[in-house]
Amino acid sequence: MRLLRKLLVSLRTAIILIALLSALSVIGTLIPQQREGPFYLANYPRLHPGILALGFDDLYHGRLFLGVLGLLSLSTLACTHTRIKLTRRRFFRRLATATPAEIMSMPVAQRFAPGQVPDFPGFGESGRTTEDGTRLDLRVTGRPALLGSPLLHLGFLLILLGGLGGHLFGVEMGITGVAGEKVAIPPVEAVRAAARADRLRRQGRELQRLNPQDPTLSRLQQEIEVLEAIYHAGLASPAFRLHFVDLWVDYHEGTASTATPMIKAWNTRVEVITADGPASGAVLRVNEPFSHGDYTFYQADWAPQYRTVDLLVQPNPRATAPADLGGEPRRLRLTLGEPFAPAWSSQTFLLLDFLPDFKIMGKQFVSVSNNLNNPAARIVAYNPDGSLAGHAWGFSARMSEMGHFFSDLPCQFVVEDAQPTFQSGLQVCHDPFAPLVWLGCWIMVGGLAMTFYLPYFEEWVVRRPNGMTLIAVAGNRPAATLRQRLAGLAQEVGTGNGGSPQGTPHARTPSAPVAAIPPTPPQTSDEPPKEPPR
Amino acid sequence: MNVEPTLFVLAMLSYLAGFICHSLSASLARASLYDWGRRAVWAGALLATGGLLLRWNEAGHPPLSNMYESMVSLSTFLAWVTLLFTRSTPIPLAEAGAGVVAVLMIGIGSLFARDTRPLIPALQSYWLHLHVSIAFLGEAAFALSFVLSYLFCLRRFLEDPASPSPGFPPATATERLACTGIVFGLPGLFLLSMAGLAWRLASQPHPDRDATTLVVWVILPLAVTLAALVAAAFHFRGAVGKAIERWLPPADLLDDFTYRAIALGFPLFTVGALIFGMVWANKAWGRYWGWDPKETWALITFLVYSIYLHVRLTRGWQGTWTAVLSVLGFLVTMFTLFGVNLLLSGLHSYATF
Repeated sequence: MRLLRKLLVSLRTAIILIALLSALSVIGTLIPQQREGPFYLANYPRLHPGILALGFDDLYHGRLFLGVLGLLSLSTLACTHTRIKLTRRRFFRRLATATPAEIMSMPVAQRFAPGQVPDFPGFGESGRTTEDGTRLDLRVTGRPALLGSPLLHLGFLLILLGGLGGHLFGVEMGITGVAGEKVAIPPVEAVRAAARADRLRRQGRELQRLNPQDPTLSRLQQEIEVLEAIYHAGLASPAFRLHFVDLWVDYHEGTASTATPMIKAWNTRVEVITADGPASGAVLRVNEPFSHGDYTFYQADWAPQYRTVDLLVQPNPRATAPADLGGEPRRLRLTLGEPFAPAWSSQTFLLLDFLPDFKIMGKQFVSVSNNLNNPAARIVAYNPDGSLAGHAWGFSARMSEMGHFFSDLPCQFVVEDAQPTFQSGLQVCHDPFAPLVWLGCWIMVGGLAMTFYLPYFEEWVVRRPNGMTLIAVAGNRPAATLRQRLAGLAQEVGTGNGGSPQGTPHARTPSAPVAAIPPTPPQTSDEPPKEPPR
Repeated sequence: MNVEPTLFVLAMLSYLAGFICHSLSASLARASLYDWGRRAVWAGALLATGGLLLRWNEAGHPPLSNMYESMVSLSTFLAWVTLLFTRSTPIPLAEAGAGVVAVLMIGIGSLFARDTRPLIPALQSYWLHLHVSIAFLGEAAFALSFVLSYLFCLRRFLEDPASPSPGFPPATATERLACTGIVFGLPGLFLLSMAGLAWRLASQPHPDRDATTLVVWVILPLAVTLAALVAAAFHFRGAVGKAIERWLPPADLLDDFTYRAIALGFPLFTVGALIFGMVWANKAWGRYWGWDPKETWALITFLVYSIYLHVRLTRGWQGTWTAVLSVLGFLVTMFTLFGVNLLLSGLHSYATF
């Protein structure tokens, strides 16, 4: 146990862990995270077995990374404990625990021969006389600076613990909605179950890829089913429903009607509906979240959805019997999923799919963005008896000729326009450990300020029984400042500056700057050990 | 008339004048030249600050929202931090080095789009002011520590092993190798990165960015200057060796000021980049930490400087290895600022252009 503690307190251990954590973090930024196995096979043909075996595909949630982070947390805990003990001793019992040898080894000090210094009355506080008759007098200023380092480490530790708690007990999910839609928000336990089921499903896919007969697969399947049941039960009796009352976009002044309108804000007005009726509501924007119950909602995504499309219908010149439309092209407005039978045709049309910015990738039609750059609409037509008449793809006017080739109907379609309706995406989060993280942050900020910006000085006067006097200054300021303080102390004890200094100030000219001695760290131990505690 | 670009050009010229005066004051030991150099840097910092304030007034938001504004702000912070650090202890060559870094920052920044645009929704928060400006203050202090560490390594590389700097033991073979690597490797690495950036700009044509500017105004002049410096130093190596004491600041001063710059920058960077970043991320995205590449590299920067502070304060390390750590820390800082935006995709991609 003692060996383990020694190992954890060791600076070398901490440095190795920090370096390892840094190296793993670098790897995590170079390899895309949380993709499926085939992605790594395609992009890292040589490395993919190693990536998957070491868990580098989900590095930050993998055992290796969390193990290093856990060890660093333990090391920080051990070190914080040691620091608190040392600080307590230094804070309350500095004079009682100091040794003349320690003071005499301070880098900013001055010695005086017997008789050179008049009798020094002390600093107004009681000094201490050691067993060999040496008199020690101490004046400390800026004592709170000593608390900086333990606080800094304590804050870091709380952040790590809060992060771990958030990882284990927090939940995150995304919801989308259009104006008027009411989305069920399940209880936290249900969302947690769904997230766990997702992780297991991913794990199962990897296992199946490696060994389809793996006996753990059936156990995973059972576990996933139980978790899904919890999730569906949560959906059936949600904590509340979120009503997307209204969605709109604000543009920066003067840009709304330009070719490149600049968005100022995406706005989602929501209302919480509980079993007792409407409870609360707010307008959500980026940087302006809204909380209700266990959850906080954030404006995360915004996409136009094209549900209604205006089409121009023309005879298809490639058809064996092109449609007779009375010599004039016809106009048709279709809404996704809603069949429509126009008066000028015996057929019923249905808009199956709409791609606002379509491209052909391989053999597939896909939309590469939500902008209405290159629209394509997929239409299906039915005969009056309900039988399938045929399919067609309609494109924009500039690509209308393509429509000939992608229609097996007597007519072809040209997309004239499409009306967007907005769909808002919200991030829904619950992290019961976030307050611990913020507490850690506050403590860490305080610790940083105290450690690096609050001056701490120890001014020592040591009088040996043989009449020799030594004055020394230590602290967390630069050597030049300590030397200035030493000169002041020398004046105070009534010596002027005539002793034999250990650290001599130099002249300050551009060509001969100050030769500074590094400041004494505020946390030096009484006897410098081989492996000093951090 | 849009005066702010003119102010930035004038600031750049002032930094260059400061660099020349400081370099001459170090080599000729003329205090008056040093004073002129300092006046030039003051003028440059004031002009750049004026330009930034004008831009802020024009755009209606602080000039921290794209790469151009970030680089100009960072260079201005570097000038102020250098003036602050050397207000009572002149270190001419470090001040000259900081001037070069400031000029390079503005030069590289000007490769990116310079127009002012309204803020995108994600950036419309007062946390933009706090998060970026405080992180940049920390990074400016890291930049100064980098210059000081580079000079430290240069001194250790040039000094006679038989008579090392006071307070430091003779450099071991490994230390000399590390110093050589830093002295020659860093300019090489910089040129290589710039060549990579030029290649990237050339392969992705954009009306606001031109690879030729980078090649003609940064890569070629710098490569020629460095080659000339190395050739001259080799040719006059005897004289260079003798003049080290006059030219270069004492090793202990460089080492001490490196620590002081990091001790100033570390809390600022931690609070600005990490903690305020976490608070803002939590407010905007619903989580304070998401292992986004920018977040992760900011954490790596924090960890590297943590190692520096631990080995320095607890172990009492001083000299070459802490200088190497300081240089490494700054390289990581620059990768966090540049490399992540240009090479890795993530939630901070909007900050690139």
